[in-house]
Amino acid sequence: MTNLPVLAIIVLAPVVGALLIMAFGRGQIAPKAIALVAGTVSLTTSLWVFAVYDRAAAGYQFVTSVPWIPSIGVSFTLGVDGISAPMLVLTSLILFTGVLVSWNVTERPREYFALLLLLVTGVFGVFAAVDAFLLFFSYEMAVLPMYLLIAIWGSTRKDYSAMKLTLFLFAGSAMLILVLVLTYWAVGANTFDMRIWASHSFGAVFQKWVFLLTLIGFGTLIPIFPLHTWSPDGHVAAPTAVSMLHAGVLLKIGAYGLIRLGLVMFPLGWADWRMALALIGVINVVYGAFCAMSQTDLKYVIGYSSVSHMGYVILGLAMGDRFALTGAVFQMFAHGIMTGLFFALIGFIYEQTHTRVIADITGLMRRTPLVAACFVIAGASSMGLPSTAGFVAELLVYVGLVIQSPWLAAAAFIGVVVTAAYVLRMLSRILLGEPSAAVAPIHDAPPLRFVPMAILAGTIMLVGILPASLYTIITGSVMPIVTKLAGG
Amino acid sequence: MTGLLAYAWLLPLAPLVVFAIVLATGRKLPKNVVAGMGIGVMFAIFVASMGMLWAVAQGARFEGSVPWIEMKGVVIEVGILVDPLSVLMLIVVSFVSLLVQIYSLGYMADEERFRWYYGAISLFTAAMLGVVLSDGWLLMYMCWEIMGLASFLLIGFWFETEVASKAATKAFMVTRFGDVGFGLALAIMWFSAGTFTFEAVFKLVESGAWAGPTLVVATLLLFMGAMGKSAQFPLHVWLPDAMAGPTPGSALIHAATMVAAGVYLVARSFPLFEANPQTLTVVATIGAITAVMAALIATSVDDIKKVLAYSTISQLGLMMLALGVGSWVAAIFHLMTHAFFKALLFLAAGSVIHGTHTQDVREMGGLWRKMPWTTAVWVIGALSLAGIPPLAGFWSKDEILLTAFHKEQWGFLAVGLVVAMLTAFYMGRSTFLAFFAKPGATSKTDHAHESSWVMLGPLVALATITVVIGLVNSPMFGFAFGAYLGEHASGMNLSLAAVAVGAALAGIAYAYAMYQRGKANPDWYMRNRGIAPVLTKQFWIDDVYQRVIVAPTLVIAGVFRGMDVAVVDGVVRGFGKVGMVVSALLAKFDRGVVDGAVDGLGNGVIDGGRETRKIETGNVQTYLLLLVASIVVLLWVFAR
Amino acid sequence: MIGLNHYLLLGAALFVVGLYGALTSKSALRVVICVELILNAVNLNLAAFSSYVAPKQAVGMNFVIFLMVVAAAEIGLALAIIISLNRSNDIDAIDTIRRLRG
Repeated sequence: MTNLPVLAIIVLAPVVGALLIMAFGRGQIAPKAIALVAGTVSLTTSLWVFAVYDRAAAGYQFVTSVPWIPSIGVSFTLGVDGISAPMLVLTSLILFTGVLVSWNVTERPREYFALLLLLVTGVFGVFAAVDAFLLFFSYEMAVLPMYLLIAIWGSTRKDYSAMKLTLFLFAGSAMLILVLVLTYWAVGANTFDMRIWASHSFGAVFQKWVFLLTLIGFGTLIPIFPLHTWSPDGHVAAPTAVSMLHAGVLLKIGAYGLIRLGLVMFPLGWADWRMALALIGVINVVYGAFCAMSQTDLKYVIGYSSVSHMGYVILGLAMGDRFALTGAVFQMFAHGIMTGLFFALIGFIYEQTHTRVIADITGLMRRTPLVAACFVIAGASSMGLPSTAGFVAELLVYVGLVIQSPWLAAAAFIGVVVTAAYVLRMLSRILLGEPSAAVAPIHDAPPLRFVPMAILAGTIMLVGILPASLYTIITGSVMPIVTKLAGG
Repeated sequence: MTGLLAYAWLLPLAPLVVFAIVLATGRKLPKNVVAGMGIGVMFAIFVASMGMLWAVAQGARFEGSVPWIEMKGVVIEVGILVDPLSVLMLIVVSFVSLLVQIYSLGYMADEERFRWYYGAISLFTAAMLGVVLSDGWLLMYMCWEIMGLASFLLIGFWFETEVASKAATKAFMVTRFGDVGFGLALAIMWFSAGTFTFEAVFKLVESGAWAGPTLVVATLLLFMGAMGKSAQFPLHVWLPDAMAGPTPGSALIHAATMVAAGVYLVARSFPLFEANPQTLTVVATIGAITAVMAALIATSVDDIKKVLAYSTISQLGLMMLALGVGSWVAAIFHLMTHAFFKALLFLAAGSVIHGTHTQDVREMGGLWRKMPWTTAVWVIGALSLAGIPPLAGFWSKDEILLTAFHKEQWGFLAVGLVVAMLTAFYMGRSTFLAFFAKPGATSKTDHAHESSWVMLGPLVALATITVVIGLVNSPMFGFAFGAYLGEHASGMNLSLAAVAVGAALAGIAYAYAMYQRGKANPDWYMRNRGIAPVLTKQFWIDDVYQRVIVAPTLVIAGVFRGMDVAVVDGVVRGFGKVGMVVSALLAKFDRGVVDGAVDGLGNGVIDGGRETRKIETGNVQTYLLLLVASIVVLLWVFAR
Repeated sequence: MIGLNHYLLLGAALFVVGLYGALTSKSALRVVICVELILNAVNLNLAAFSSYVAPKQAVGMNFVIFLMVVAAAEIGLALAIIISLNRSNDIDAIDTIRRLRG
């Protein structure tokens, strides 16, 4: 352990980057270079944190604390445990690759990259926060840049989507403010420190209703059925890097918050609502998969597939045993990387062919074999094929699910079959066949564009083949939660 | 020599490295280097496997594993198991793969994606070796799925054509459906047994620690995975379509090895199935249905590769039947012999296709003059498949019939005999039509030529194997095969063997009468129109059948062929259609109702704003008036 | 004897006249004049209250003087606007100017 405030470096590197970009980021190259440096700093630091995190000790580590608003007990306290450490790695990976993917953004690059970094700061803040107020504050900080990024640099129906997304997220955060205030008063210790909150035992009725508020508030973000419609629209409208962040990271904030504030604080409330949650999870899985199948726009397919895949996370949270919960966090990571890769690929294809309609794209395997290979890897993870990250995650969730509720498992398995169908249908249409008119003139990804794809695809395979490191770090921090949920 | 076994884990990795090199280098390496790597690696694996056979035959075994996931008491391990069964499979896989790769030097020489082909074959072989070497179901499942991916790549090798890309997708989808069962079985196994390792689970089952409904369900689900991969009814529909891939690839994957993986899975998990007689009955029944159905269809197919495909399905059904009646050794024996002679038949068919550029037996005829070597090896393969002694197929099929006989499963024995006769008939039919009958009017054999030696070499090697391999489980060698796998030999029953051979000869004789003496046209089912009323109806079906149209029928071949296209395949497509409709509806619901509510909220605010903004006229005096009026109202309200 | 009420009545009358004029006049110039009337009504009130409520401190008187200055400035500004409107649009009718419309 060291005294260096590493978490502060991770969180603040993007802010500093954003400020530098606003100050010196003239021209086309400077903003990108600064953003890349900031991303690299965050990436290396969070990888370092991931590597040296003491898996045997679990709990919050690397804690740094600075008083912020002492009068009401708000402090700038950062720390990571086994759940947030993988999320930090995920976020910084997506940031790093997202910057590379955005290398071709020519419209107002200065503002674009500054906002992108600001958004990521918020996300880092959520994952590294030990203070509930800081968590909430960071979350709000992420939403606004998201709106601007979609509304200015987006495509298809961007104004509508950006507004819809923002409305939904603010509606969700209205619930969360309520949760924050109610819990703060109920604890009555003049602090927002979640470690202290977690040790407080709340009344059963209080838990029941406040958990519901938390569920709706963070659930909107996951997104749970039927509060999910903002999400596919948002994915589609956003520029590539923002889609990556949005699907890859933002959705995870919802699940992460639900674990942190919901499961840990209100185990009795969780017990009241878990069957409803499980049902929602199954609906998410199956419904999302069916919806994805009927889409014609590549981004919509992936958008709805996110709804489907996040269903496994919901199921894992609802089951709450060591396998399912570990599987849920694993799925958060795996899905983040996978969707990030999908959007990077689709972004590249869109940039080259100016279309995302599945029917207009065929024969990618012939024109762009590297991109096609990455598509296959992402698709394999999406289908949960072994040796990809998706397999491990789904296996863990299903092990937990089969033990507790075989019928739900059987219902969710419909989703597995449908998922295989739509992924395969999409892949075989766009990859196989003779190149279509739109595809014929394009060339394979140049090195600069291929690097981010290769990083993400490699991560999928690496985590799928050697899941031990990720598994142990997660399960170590999941175990106390499981004990608490079991009533211990 | 036993030390060698500990390095068995290197075997699957070597072809994987070849695949990685092909991926990484693209078109930079010369074709011959890529092919040389693939063949060299496979040769080394074959030699190593032979060494292992020697060690294992003397009683050596090896099991080693590494933790895959480990945390606080939970350890999930993956590892390898080298025992007689896995070594046997190693030899079969590596040998067939080696010969197929050599053969492909000639067959695929002009292909643009020559290197990619070798890469995909290497990937497949790596996965298949992983399947047979794994010491537990988890690693097996992982390799199993990679195998499916490789199969997808090879079926879709000519992905520019619609046929190939559709067939690839269909194959992957159908097998994936079976694999869902496999995956679910894994989950059940984990919470019932707490481990994925063969040995540990077997112990639990033997001691009775794991029994009851979960075990039944787990075995049924495992069998579901096997049904998908081994193309058992009703999940067999993908295999005939899979013939859209390159013929040598089909020989390796869709005839000799991958499709046999389902049989291997059941054989490997046999202690589990043995504990559940009801599951075994299911296995045997499915196997019997598949065997008869596919054999009947095969009698009426004109595409030479599809005849072999249906024949493969039928033979796999026979292996499942053997497993179901309780003899995994007989099943594995037939798996092995079948791998050799079916690979032989496929490669010979490839040679024919290469020489004539057609796959339709009606467009061939009299090939024996132009392709003597190909004809010779084909005949050996066909006779072996028909079960004529002393070729390999005779011994292994006899073993299966004998098991059914000993277990007094008369129904399954009858099925076996019927299949034997049908097999002899359809092989006779295609052999006479393609090689011996006079070329018909539609014949395309004028420019047929014998293939080069690089293709004939592997054929001759396989033919030699086919002649001798069956003897390993014959009285001559004291049933060495059964002893090697650790099961008592069941001996030989001469009268049963005589009946079986009689049935086969009858089938051949009928085919001879029908297709060699008579002209190929009209075909057998058409010719019988006037004789039997049942077959008259068959003709009615054939009318539809020739146009390859869905038709339900009372006549068996027509029924099954019709079922193949209309019912089973239709259900798959129907599910797809229903899925599309449902998803379209759900998408509408999503847009209309769920989304509508949200839009409604937004629109309400916008409309409200539009109305209110009318107050703002821009006229200063109006504002002033409003101001005064407001003050008056406020005064009236508050100052009263 | 003239009391506080008389001053207030006069102020109210001035205010009402000014308000009426400001609301109804078409000419921008007349509106400005009427606004002046309103301001002066206020001034009158302030001065009256000042001398009756706190005659020795004259706080209100300061306000009156202050307001006069403001009114002078305001008049200058208003006239400038009117002139520029007149120059650019050649109009004086205030109800045709609707640039503030939302």
